[in-house]
Order: sequence, then structure tokens, then C-alpha cells
Amino acid sequence: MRHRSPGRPARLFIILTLLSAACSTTGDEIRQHQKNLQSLASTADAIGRAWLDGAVSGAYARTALEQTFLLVEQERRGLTSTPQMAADPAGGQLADAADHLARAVALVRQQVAAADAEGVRRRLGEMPMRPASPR
Amino acid sequence: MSALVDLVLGIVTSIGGFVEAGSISTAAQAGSEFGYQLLWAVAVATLMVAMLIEMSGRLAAVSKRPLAAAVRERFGIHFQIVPLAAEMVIDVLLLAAEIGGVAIAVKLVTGAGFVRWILPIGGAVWIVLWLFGFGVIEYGIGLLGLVTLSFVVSAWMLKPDYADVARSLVPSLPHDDYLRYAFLAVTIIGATVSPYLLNFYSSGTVEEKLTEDKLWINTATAYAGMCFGGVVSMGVLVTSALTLGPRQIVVDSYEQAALMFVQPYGHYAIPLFAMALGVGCFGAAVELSLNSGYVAAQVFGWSWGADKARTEAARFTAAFTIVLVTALVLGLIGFDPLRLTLLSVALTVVIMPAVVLPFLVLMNDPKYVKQHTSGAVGNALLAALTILGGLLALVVVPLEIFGG
Repeated sequence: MRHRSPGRPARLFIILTLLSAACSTTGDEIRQHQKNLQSLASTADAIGRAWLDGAVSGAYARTALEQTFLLVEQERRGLTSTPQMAADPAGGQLADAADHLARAVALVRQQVAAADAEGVRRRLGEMPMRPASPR
Repeated sequence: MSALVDLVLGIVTSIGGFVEAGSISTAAQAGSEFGYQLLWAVAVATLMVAMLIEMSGRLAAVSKRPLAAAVRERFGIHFQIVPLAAEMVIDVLLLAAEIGGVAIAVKLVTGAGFVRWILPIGGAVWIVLWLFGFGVIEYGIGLLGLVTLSFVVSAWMLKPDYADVARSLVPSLPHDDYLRYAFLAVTIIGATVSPYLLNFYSSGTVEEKLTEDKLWINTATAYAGMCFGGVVSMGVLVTSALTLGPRQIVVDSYEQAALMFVQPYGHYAIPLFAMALGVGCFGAAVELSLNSGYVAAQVFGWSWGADKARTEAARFTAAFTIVLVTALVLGLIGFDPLRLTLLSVALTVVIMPAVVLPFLVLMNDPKYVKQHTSGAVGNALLAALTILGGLLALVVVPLEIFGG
């Protein structure tokens, strides 16, 4: 009986890793940015809801939302960082969505600073790019 | 009785000192992105670090030489200069990341920008190093670090499916995103198996004057302490998988990671996370600084020892002060601590073969360890894992960093 080489899964894994890196396209990069932006929208939502529930302080919510805003801006810049990405219609749409998200996060932060719970609740309901619901 | 106290203290402080910026950030990222699937990497890294720590303690107890001094004596300064320089660079990066981790912890509670905390934290690290001896540093920090057990408690409170957890201890391929999966596996190993730990532990063994007849304490402390410490890292990963994963939150900042405590701890979430992060990173910052002094002094043959008056070991004191100041400058430039941590731990795996392979040679040289040489299985396992990890890191680190 022929034995399976113990190094085979490791070799397969390295080959798949190299292939996945080599075959990365503009479409893949845009999908990655979309995933990151959805994560940030979900983060802003989680921070806002935790603040509304009184589980986190205003100081934490403000700084965490500020950091989230910076990360959204970083993603937005990434979407227009190459001519290929900027020319791609899907990339353009996502950059617009990122712009909306950045503004929404900034507004939630402002309302947290003003202790405006009703405003935060309303903004969270309208938060763009939020994943549908917890899996 | 005294040996038993040493053993218990050793195990407890190993648990408390296990988790820091690297292990928190890599395990939190792995859990949020791949669920439990990378638990095997934590288990492999824990086994590797336990074996290496036990060996470094054995080498120091039997030969009465710490690791860096023994490598220098066996292979010469010309051989050691490259790995030594690489380790020093990574120690500085890690130290900046740990100080940044403490600053972020303060920011989480106060809301004030993290860069302004860098200098006061650096000052506090230096004062601890100046004022206290090895015992206070090791046991004090280790005992405070027990706050990181909150990650195990949170994982338990979230009621994970233990069958799933157990199945994840066997490596499996992800559905997609192989590169990211490989990168996170590499960073988990790098965060756990840091070369500084080996030097620090062997220097500590010499400082504590552990003798050959008490090698069992070294073995029990290394394996039990590191294995329990690994469970804390797994606690971070499981908590992240159960709280952030379902919300599709990918951890890109410590502010996001802190959200993992909201579900299990409610009002106490942020202060508790900040305390665990802050204490873990502060302890690692003190150990990294002290270790840089140890390594420099041992390689160049200077007087060294945390228990010596600082004036008696002036160059040792100057060495850790210079490394600390360099790391503070790096921190003040304002690097993102989480990204700096990931970069440092990934690079750690790249240089690991240069540190571990000469160490394995020493552990099989009766001139250093007498009859206590390592077994063939341990040698082969460590050499294979180290080389495989180094090769994988050489492939995935540039792809992940430069490929965005």
C-alpha cells in the first residue's frame, strides 16, 4: 500500500497560498476593501449600540469611533490608489459608499460626544454597508 | 517546601507573563477572521515555546551560562553578530509595540491620544528596571499578569462548542484567503516563540542560581506554565471568534479588539480589557528591555544582573537604557502599535532558524549540558518546525505586507 507523504498537505497549502497571491486581481482587491469596510461599519454599529446600552463609556466610544473613521478613510484612499482601481466602476461605487460611511461614523461620534442617544440610535439605523445580521 | 513554592510561583508567573501585545492581537485577528480554525497554530507554538524554554533553562542550570554567552563561546562573535543584530532590531520593534500597547490601554480608559502616554510609560519601565531586582520584576509582573485570565473566563462564559474547539487543534485548510490564513499562522507562532523569551529565561535561571539537581523544577515550570499560558491565548482566540466573528468585525485596531469583552463582561468590558492589555504589554516591555541588557552584556562579556547594583553593571544598565530610548523614539513617531506588533512577530519567525538551530547544537553538546542532552525526537521536531516556519514566513510576510 502506498503511504501518503506527510509533507503533502504542507506543500499543497504553500502552493495554494502562492497561487492565491499570484492570481490576485483588481476585483479581488475591491472585494477585500468591501470586506474591510463592512467590518468597519459593523464596528461602528457595535460601538454605538454598546454606548446606548451603557456598556461602554463616552470616552471609549469617541476614541474608538475616531479610530474607525481613520480606518474607513484609509480604505477609501486605498480604493483610488491605482489607476486600475479608480477606473473600475465597482471600485468607484465602493469609494462613494466608503465616503458615506466615513461621514456616518463621524456623525455618530459627534452625537456620542453630545450625549445625543436618540440621534445615535437614528444614525445607527441608517448606517451604510453594515452586514445584514450576526451569522 | 521551598522547591514547591518556587515551582508554583514559576508556573503562576509564566501564565501571567504569557499574554502580551503579540499574542492578544494575533489571536484576536485569527478568531475574528477564521473562527476556531487557527487554534492548532496556538497549540503548535505553545509546544515549541515550552520545549525551547525548558531547554534554555536546562542549558543555563547545567552549564551556568546563559544562552547568548554560550552561543558566543561555542560559535564565536563572527557567527553571532548577524543573528544578534537581527534579534536586537526585532526586540526594539517589539518593545515599541508593547509600549504602544500600554499607551492604547490607557487611551481606551481615558480617551486621550496614545502618543502622549509613550514617554511616561517608558519612564515607568525604566524606573522599574532601575529600582527592582530580578525576583520582584519576574514575580510581580507575573502575578499582576494573572488579570489576563479574564480571556479564559470570557471564553468559558460564552459557552463555546468544545467539540469544535477540540477539532480545531488539528490543522485544516481554510475555504479561501489562504495567504491571510498562512500569515496569521506565522504571526501566532512569532508572537509566542520570541527569541527574547529564550535569552530572558536562561538569564533568569542563572540569576536565580538554579542547580542541576533541581532541573525537574525547570521542566515542570516550562511545560505547565507555557501550556496554561497557551490556554490564555486560546481564550483570546475563542472569545474573539464568538463575539467579533458573528458580527463580521475583522480586528484592525485594539479599539475593535476591546469589543470582544462587551458581551461577556458588560460595564466592566473596557476597563478589564485595558487592564489585561496594559499589564501584559507593560510586563513584556520590562522583560524586553532587561533582556536587551542581558544579551548585550553577555555577548560582549560585561558585568550583568538585575540583582546587581546598577553602578556595578553600568554597561548593562546603559545597554537596556539605550534600547528603551530607541524604542521610545520609534513609538513617538506614531506607528500604529497593532501593525508594528504584527510586523515584528512575523519577522521573528523569519530569523527564528538563526536563533534556534545553533541552540539545538548546544543542547546536544555534552560540554555544555553534560548527560542532559536533548532527545532525537525533540531535536527533529523543533528543527523541522523552525525551518518550516521560517520558510513559510519568507514566502507569506512579503506577500502580505507588500501585496497590501
